[in-house]
Amino acid sequence: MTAPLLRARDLTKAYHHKTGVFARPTSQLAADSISFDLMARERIGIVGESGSGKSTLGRLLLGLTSPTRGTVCFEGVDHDDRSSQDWIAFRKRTSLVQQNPLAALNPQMTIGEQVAEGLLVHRAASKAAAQERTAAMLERVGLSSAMMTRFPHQMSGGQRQRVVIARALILDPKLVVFDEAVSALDVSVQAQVVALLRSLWQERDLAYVFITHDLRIVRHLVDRIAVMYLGRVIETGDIRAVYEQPRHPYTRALLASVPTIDPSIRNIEPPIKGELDPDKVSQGCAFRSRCPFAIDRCTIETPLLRAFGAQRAACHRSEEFAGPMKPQAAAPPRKELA
Amino acid sequence: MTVVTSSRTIRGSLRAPFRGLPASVGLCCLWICIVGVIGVTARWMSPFDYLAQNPLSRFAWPFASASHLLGSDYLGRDVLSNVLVATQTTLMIALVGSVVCALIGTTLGLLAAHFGGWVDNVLMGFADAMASVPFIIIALGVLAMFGSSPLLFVFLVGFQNWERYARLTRGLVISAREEGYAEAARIVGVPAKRIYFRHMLPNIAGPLIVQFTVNFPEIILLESGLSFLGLGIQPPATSLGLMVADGRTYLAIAWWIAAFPGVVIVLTTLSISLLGDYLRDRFDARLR
Repeated sequence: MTAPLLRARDLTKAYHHKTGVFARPTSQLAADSISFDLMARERIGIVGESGSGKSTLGRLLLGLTSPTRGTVCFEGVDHDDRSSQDWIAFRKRTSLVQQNPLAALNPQMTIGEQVAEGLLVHRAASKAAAQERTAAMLERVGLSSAMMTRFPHQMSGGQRQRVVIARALILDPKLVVFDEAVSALDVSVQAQVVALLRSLWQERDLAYVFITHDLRIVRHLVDRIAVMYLGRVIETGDIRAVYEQPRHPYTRALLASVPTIDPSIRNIEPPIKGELDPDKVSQGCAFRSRCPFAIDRCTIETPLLRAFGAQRAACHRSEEFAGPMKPQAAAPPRKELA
Repeated sequence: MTVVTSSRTIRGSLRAPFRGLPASVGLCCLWICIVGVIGVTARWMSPFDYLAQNPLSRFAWPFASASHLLGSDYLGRDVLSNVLVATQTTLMIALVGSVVCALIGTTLGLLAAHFGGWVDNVLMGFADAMASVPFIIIALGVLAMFGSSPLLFVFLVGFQNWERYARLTRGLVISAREEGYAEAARIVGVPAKRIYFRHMLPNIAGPLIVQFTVNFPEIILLESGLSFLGLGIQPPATSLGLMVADGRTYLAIAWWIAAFPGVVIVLTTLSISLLGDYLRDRFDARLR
């Protein structure tokens, strides 16, 4: 077995905030004891609703914030042990694609300058060679090389996201983190970008961490999935296994809320109610206040990830979710047309 | 892939700043241009040597004779020549002072934003202390202690209001750092210095330019004030403030000695202030 490209162990990030001068500072765990390995060329999807800590996880992996506890190890080097020289090398081999392409691009610099900057900063190419590689990269992501002289505000949203992808890949990184990379785009553009990401993965030595709330998108892009709830991974495993037979009620609810085309199996009732409630999670299962299957044990004992074949879930009642998801089960009974 | 056809032509972008320019701002620009030309060519333009005395034609009325267009003063010196040279001196001091001020303030603000923590606290505390004392009192103290030399004077007026630049830069940098493009540059591995100067500075330049136009007239007023009090420019050199101070004594019998330099001060500071207001609105995306 080869060593993993990226290894996260017990990754925890707490944010402290004070409500008043004399108030006791409260802390909230944006990431809570997350551990996983990512092999070279592997693609993992991190899903969860707003506030579940998935973006924090991405920032932790790239060393943009330091964890409260735990370690991240990339190509055998721990983030804590990196010298500034190592960090520069790490930046060259990893990349991030942000959510909002307009914000991610500098309004005062041309597209060509921004894409080529990585090459120039790392002295990976001479000025002329950088120009050439930038043009080639832009063409690879489906833009014309004539766009190099454009400014971001002169492009459409889809074109901008392609520029951001080109900038992320110009240094030939081994790992790219996509933080809601396609969420801000139109559905039709989304599909094009997803197809682009698939074909880029096929031709390059790339690993993806794909952070999103969109379960339809992630299905077409990743091999493995991790579902997050309030900073914890509550279910993880092979994408097909998790989609076919979710073992955690939260995953089941998420999958049930994916809209379907067939109106007869359309879901009118939201599968879960309420919003994330971070205040009541000191003990027991964080999801219990919204869980339709909660039992007394859930308030006392925090469930840990347990293995079920190709997947692992953190629920006391996982065994009971043995059957595959039947969308019809969650839908109201079909009404006969008069 | 669709090709975007709209692109800004060079001529269009050159003309863009002047489109919809209000007449008042146009007049301000015109006056600033005139003052700028005077600043460069004063010595050649002035009809007399500004120090040449002519006791026979003292207190000549303005617009009365072709030789002394703006009259002459109590030593028979030509007021027009004096105003031209004084404008040059004042403009020079204000320009150098503004640049010094902008450099000091922006640098310190950037340092405060970059290091944060105690560096930030010390710098901003110092800025608060500066802002809490009227600067003219500090200036008076320094000039009284060290005597007035042109170099010291220029740097002294340059210290006025540096804390405004520092605060502005600090705030702008801190907010720009949270923007996506700065983080994106960081992820690519761009060094911090390059992020500040290549990525952030062009994006935060607007408010700083506006601050420059606000600061410029204030430095002219400070220079005039200190010269008026006798602590600024020393005779035989001249400046607008000094001319007003000189002419004040003869205000009852020869108003023009003080009035013309006064008018130049008022018009120049007013023009630059109005232009600054206009630029502030232009650079603010929400008001465009």
